[in-house]
Amino acid sequence: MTEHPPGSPQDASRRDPALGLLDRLVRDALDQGYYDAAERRHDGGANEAWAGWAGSRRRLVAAGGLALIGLVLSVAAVQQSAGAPEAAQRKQDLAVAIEDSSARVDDLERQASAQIAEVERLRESALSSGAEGRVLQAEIGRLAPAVGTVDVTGPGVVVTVDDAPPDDEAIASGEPDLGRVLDRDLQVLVNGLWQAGAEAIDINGERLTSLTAIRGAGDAVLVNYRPLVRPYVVTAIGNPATLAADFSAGPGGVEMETLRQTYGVRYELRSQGRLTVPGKPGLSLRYAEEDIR
Amino acid sequence: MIAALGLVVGIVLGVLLQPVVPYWLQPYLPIAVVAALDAVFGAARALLEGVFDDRVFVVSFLSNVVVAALIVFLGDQLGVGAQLSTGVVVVFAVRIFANAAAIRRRLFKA
Repeated sequence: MTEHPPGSPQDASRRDPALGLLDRLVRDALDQGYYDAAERRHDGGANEAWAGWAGSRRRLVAAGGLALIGLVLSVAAVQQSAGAPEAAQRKQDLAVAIEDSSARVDDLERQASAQIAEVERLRESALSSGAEGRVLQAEIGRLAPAVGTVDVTGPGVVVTVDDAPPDDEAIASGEPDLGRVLDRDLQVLVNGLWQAGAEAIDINGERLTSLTAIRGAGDAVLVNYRPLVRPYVVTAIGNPATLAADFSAGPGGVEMETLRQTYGVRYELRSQGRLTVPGKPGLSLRYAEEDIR
Repeated sequence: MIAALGLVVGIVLGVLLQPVVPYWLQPYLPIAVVAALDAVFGAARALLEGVFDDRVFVVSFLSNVVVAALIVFLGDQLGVGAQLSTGVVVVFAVRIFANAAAIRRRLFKA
């Protein structure tokens, strides 16, 4: 039993080393030591110091080994069951911490916009005193809506997009959910709106300013570094006569229509007579300066 | 009989004492578990084949745990601990399967 007859398994191992390795693993699954020990016992040969040991003592050794094994298994089981609620608790703590932080960000943002409004009010009163100041004030009034720091109103379109209903079959088989709206889709959509002549755009109340990026972070889409919550409502102000039609016919509308038909993504476009796009106050350049020559 | 008692004693000890596994030892726990299962299945098969030997049982279990832990420790130091750990688990799992199959063949003749 200790020797393996030269048979087909060896041939297999010569053909493919990986196969041979697995083959050997299966064939030598039981420790060779057992067979050797049995052979020694069978031969009745002197079994070193072990031979002098009494049967009960040997059995005690085996019991000790099994006790050790039992200990390892139960410790692992205890460890596992103790760790599970702990992990859930940690997750819960993290969720609470995220909510707290979000609330604090909201609070600080409210404070910031109140102070920015105060600054604007003070600047206005300071500038309105002189002729030069009034020119600057007019300049600010002209640029602010375009840059995106103040609220603007006007006619335009509202585009609503949302993930397709989850495909249970795909999720069960572990495939990626293709019906999800990605940051790329929103970029295409927004670029299409700009192309169709939109003058001011926001997504879920986040104004797209000259410094805004639409990007994905994990499963979330960030605009102005704020994660968006589905559904995505894109509000665009522009020429009411042409904006909707130009967008639908342009690359943005075509892309969204394709997404709707191919993946079941929700996509709705409707014109509206009066829309408000909120401003994103506090926009300031820290490094770029006006080139005065 | 004594051996079975030993297994029960070990399990009861682990459940009652609930020892906290130190952090540095935790990566080796899964390896110890598969090595323990491998030893149990190997011993059961040896018993059925009539070649069981107490010393081989204890020594092979201990040495398997030590060698496996050593491999993983070395891997951890070299940055391939997770891969080596997987390899060790695969080797033990294949052995467990093979031994379980041998036990099944002997018990059920199928």
